[in-house]
Amino acid sequence: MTLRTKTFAVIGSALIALVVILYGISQSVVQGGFRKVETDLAAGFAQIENRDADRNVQRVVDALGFRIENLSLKAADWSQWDDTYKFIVDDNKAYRESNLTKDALSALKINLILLVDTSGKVVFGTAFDLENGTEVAVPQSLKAYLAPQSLLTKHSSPESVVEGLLLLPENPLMIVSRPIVTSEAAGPIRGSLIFGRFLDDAEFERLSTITHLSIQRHRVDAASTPADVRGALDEFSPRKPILVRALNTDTMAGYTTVSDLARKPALVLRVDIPREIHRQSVATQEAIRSRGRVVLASLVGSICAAGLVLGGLILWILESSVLSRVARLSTKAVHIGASEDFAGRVSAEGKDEISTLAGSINTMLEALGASHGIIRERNAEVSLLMDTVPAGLLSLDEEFRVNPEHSRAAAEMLGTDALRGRAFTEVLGLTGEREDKGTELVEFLDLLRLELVPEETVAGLNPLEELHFEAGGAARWLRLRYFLIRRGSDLPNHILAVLEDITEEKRLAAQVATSQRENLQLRAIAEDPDLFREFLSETRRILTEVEGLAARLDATEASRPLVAEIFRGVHTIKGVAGSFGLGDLSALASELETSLDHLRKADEIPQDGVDQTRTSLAHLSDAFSEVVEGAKKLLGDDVAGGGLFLRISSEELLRHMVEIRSLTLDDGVKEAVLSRIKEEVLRRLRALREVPARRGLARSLKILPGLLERLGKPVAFRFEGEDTPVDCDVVQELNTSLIHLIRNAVDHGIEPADERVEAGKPEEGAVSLAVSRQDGDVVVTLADDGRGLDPQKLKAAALRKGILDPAECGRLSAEEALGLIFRPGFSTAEQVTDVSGRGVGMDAVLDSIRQKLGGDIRVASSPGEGTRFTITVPASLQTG
Amino acid sequence: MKVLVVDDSMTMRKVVATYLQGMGVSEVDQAENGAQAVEMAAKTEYACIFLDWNMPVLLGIDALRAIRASGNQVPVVMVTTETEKRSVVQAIKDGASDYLMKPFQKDAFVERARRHLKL
Repeated sequence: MTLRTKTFAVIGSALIALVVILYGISQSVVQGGFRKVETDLAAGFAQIENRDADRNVQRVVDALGFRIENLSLKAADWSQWDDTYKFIVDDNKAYRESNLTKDALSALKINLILLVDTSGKVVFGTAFDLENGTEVAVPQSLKAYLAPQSLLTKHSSPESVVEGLLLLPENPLMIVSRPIVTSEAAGPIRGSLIFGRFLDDAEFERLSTITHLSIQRHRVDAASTPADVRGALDEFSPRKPILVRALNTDTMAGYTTVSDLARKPALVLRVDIPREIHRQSVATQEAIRSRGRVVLASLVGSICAAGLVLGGLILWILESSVLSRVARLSTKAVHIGASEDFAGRVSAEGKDEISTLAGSINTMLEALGASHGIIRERNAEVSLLMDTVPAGLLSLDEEFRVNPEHSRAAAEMLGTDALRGRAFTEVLGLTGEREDKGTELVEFLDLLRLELVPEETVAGLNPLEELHFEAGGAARWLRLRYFLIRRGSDLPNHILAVLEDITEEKRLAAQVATSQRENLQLRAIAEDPDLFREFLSETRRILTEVEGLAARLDATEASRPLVAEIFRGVHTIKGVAGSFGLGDLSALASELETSLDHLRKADEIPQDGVDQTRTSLAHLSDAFSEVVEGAKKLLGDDVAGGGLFLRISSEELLRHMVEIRSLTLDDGVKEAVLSRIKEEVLRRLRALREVPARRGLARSLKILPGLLERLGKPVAFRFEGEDTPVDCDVVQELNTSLIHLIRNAVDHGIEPADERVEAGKPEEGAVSLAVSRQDGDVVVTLADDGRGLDPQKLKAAALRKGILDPAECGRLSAEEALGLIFRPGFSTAEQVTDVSGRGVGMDAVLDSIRQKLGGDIRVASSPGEGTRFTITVPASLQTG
Repeated sequence: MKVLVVDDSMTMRKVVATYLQGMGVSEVDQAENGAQAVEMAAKTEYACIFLDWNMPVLLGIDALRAIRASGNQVPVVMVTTETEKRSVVQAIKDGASDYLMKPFQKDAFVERARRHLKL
């Protein structure tokens, strides 16, 4: 909410509150005042109305009184007259004929006339029906009142008058009784003159006309009287002879009683009076009320107008002196903030708090501009620094999204500048199929971030140290490392990801590995070209042989021995190729060996297995041809053509030539000499065939370093009699067996280091080879200090494999039991390793030594101490 | 100072024990599965536990969780192979103090043990 809106709201609501309060007060005051006037008026009007009604009733009563009095005056004319005074005692005819005529009496407008003497005798009495103008009988009910000294006839003085009302059953009767006296009003009283006039409908009509009021009469002794009349009757009292009641808004009723001669209430009169005063009162009140509303409305109107004017005035002052200036100041400041143009300044005219504020803001802007400049400079430096580092640097937030700042190298390596805010795993392309790897990376980063254990400890668990990454058409290898960025105790740690482009490094490493292999190969070749040639020719021979066998393979049981034969050949190639550093060839052979192993162990030989074998064999053959081509370049001749090449020292040849040339013959001993010469030449030629054991057994020794490396066992190797001359063919054949024996010794004989430690032996194993000449024999001994052979275990194995029947088993001595290892189908290795292979057994060794070399092999061993093989073969293959 | 070595291979236990004794650790207790380890860790206060990952009865990781669940904060070094790398991440989150990848050289072990035994 802006300041302006707030000000408007506050002032607006204050004004509204003010108006409401003023309205409230004035309403209560004004309305209260008007209401008071109104009620006072209403009370006044009501009093007037009541009094008026009272008066009206009184008028009716007076009118009635007047009627009776009128009757009384008429009666006085007759009672106080000498003629009547005379008539009552003599009943003269003249009085009767002149006065008591029908016409005279009806002119009096009375209903009754009675002349009664003092004895109570009615001298004259008649009644009239005024309407019809006829004489009627005096009502019988009147008789009771005419007795002497009764109410009507008792007159104490000549001036005595009895007048009032009698409630006769027919009608109420106005009655007057006067004493009959002389015209001078002197006595003695000779009787009573009674006049009566019925208070009938006509009489009441007259009363109404006189009073201009509507009058109702109700007899007190009536069988039924209206409720209001009865109510009034109960309420009358001497102090309240007249009662006034408002019947409705238009009519007012006044009640009063009229008593009879005995002063008992006889009639109730109800006078209906139109409520003109009341109507006037209501109209006046309404006028006052509306006047009050007008007054109130104009009062509120003027308060509102005053409020509006006042509010407007306040706002105008605020707006012109504060709000618009503050708004201008704020707009400018916001603009400066948004554009980061800290050179901009705000301004405010005048000299007050606002202009002081503008001054302060400007001072702040100046300081801000300065520090912003420094920050920009620093940022530029940091950016430059980051961009100069060849590594890709980017930091990841607590949810492993890339933070805005990263080095240029990072963008280059990842092939995009749009890194900001993206999930790091997504940037690395660890989505879809590789999502699992991404999850693993996130788990790792999370662990790093949590700092549960030292950073270095976590670093070892990096699941993705190297990544083959393709972006923008370029593929490269990236090395990824992560470091913790601690941002202070109250902020979550971030992670610095360091990316290194190791494509070149990888390529070089691969190159180094290749050249190392080539180097190894070259060294092998250089060390003993003959040996290499020999390897090549042997491999060629084996390949030709197994290819021939493979051609005969089919998916029948008959193929099983063929598979075994091919397996043997491939196994040999694998081992020898490995020892010459021909890794590719060795790997291919190993692969084929594995599939052949499955094939020979399968229940049935499948056709696709056969096809697979042929294809793999062709690959192996191709790879071998490549090796041969390479070797040709180095050795420059038909390297794999077969045959054995010997290297003979030229000096030695020269010596032999000199010696042979210097030979002289004696005649007598020609035959003998010739024979001796032949012998000597043969001996010398034989000697030429001999090579030092070290050289001849080079092939066997060659396998050692690689073997030890692969098995990871520390072994000390000793070679005694390495200069012992051995026939090259013999030594060649010996190699086949010796390689096998050495492998077995290192792989199975020597225990793993921990086992040796446990057995109390030195951690390092010992294998020793000795070659010596003994009487025309070459004796080769291979001994190790490994776990040795257990005759009992050998027997058990032989029994299990069905090589031995139990009877024979019992007969075998411990020494003989050791010989079991040379039996076909026996192998002590429980485990298949890539070193000792899968059962190219000791039987082949025995076969080679016995059949090919005409020698023998013996084994001696004690469990836990080691094994010793002793091979004895004739020094030369030729008997000569 | 007492150290507990947990491994189902007796050879492995003996090798580690030999190394530890070579470092001057007088008492080396051995357990051959996770369940035993949890039981022994509850009874005895060890300076450190070397806990193999893959064992019968109770896996190393479960033994670790059980030990930590009992409120025991003894340093536990998980002895694992390269293939269990990912699980080690979880193990550390579950309270492992460190890990050692098999096969390890004596030097690597000694360095690690020294750190946790503060020798």
